[in-house]
Amino acid sequence: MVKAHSEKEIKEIRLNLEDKLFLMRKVRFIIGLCIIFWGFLLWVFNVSGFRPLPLILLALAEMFVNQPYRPIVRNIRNLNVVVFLHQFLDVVLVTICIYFLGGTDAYFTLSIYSLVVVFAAVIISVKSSFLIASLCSLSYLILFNFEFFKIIPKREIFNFRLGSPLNVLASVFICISLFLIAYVSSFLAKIIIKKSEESKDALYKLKFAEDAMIQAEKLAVVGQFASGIIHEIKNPLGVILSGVEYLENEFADNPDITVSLDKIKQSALNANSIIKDVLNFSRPNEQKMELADLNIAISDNLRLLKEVSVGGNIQIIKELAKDSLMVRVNINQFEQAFFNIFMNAYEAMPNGGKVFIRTYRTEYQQQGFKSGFRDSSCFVFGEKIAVLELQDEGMGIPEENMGKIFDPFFTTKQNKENAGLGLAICRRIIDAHKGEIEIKSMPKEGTIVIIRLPLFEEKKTKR
Amino acid sequence: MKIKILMIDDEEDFCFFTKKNLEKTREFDVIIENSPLKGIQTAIEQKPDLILLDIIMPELDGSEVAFRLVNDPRTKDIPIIFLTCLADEKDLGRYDGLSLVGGRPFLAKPCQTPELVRVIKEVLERKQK
Repeated sequence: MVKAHSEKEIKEIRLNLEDKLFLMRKVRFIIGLCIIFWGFLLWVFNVSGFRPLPLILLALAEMFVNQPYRPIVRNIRNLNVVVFLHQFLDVVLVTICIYFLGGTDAYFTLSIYSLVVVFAAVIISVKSSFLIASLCSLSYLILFNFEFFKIIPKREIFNFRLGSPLNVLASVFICISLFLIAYVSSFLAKIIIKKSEESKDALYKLKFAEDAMIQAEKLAVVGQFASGIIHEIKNPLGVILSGVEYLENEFADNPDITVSLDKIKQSALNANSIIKDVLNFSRPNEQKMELADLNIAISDNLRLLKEVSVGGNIQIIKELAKDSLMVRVNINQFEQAFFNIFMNAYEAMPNGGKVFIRTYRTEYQQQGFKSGFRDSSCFVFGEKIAVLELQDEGMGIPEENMGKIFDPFFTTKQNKENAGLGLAICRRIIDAHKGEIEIKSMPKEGTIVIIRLPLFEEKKTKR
Repeated sequence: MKIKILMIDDEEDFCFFTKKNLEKTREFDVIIENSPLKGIQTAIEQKPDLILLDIIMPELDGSEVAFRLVNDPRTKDIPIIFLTCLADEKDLGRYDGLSLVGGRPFLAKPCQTPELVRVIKEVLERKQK
């Protein structure tokens, strides 16, 4: 049984907590560097009263504090608590660093708090950033009180005088800190955007994989169902058709009976046609692939279509690639897929119109998945592929139907012999060819079916 | 002289109408056997010109019936046409206008009499060649 995730559940996939912890390690490193840089400046300016050793030790502690308990973190279930404790530890360490950098006199060192708060906002959440900001304020207040009531000795490093070297240094520190905050914020934003895109891609893949599984399950059910009943249905159909044929001969001179028999026969033939579709759909694909020129295959198919008088007031405009496009195809299956797609175009234009058939070689540029089952990684970005496009000027496909067009038994056609398997069969065939089928449609403007197949270049064909 | 056809198929109604339709052309005499084992016996006794053989049957599978007929010197030269609803002509290999299963001609059920007659004649012509 396939479990389908709801849209809400899928949206909840965000940066996971381990990612947050990883980011925090980086952030802590940056904060540590910032403190060391500031200590370095004080050391260069030979500021009296400054003791570099405790500051360096604290900065190193800030940079590597999480290392000892990294293995433990992996086993902790509630990583949210760990993340918060990390932040709390940051605040404590930064406060002690501020003390060693001059304490409350060095008010400009408060910008280090800004770094911590910004990181909290970006990495964890806005709410926790408020909490961390409150903690920072509280820590600073405690530091202030400790200094004021002389619980800890006040560090007499700074004696500001407007325009003094220390005053300039403090201003430089604030500027550098602001730039650092800007740089780190943009760095984090980039990481988050990248993660978010990866997450989107993962979501897309997940949704696609689910669709594919659901589709495969449907197909399996259809296959089992079909193989089970086809024999039982075809036999009575054979009897009906043989019986009708016999009666037609017997009552050839009675038009009333002939008309009635003709209706019975037509219905039986329609039923038989549906059975054939189901049979085609349910039977495992026989893979007898051969190298063929896509252009020649298309031309042959168009000739066949003319032979069976498909066309009428439809104008076929061929825009085939000048060079040969070598692809590996099962000719019979490809013929069937092309026929189904062409008939859709034909039936979408009851009043006539143009059908454009194009082939060309190109490099694969699609992002993500299209309508086939094929994993996008099978077509490498930039891989050379052969493309077949069939565009009509028909009524188009309503948007609400776009998601169902490849579903078995989905049809909007009124004709009784249509089982709604045409595109489902096409999709299966194209999948078997390791290709991709995409349908774009604008209601009342037309539809374009794009089939992409792996291209076999000369180098490959010589093997 | 009419062509003698032996039809081995467990679908009695289908056999009934197919016999009627073939005989209506006045070119064929059709013998029906709904049991595969009886069918083999009838083939040995009656020596028909051609056998129409269903594939899915109780008692004995059509392919097994064909195997026994081909390996019996008394029936080995009788051409066999398979009749089956397991597949349709389009999906199987074609050889000069004939669909083949395991190298033997086959017709998909339900089949129309003209098509059946065409295939029968073609198979017999090939045998004569």
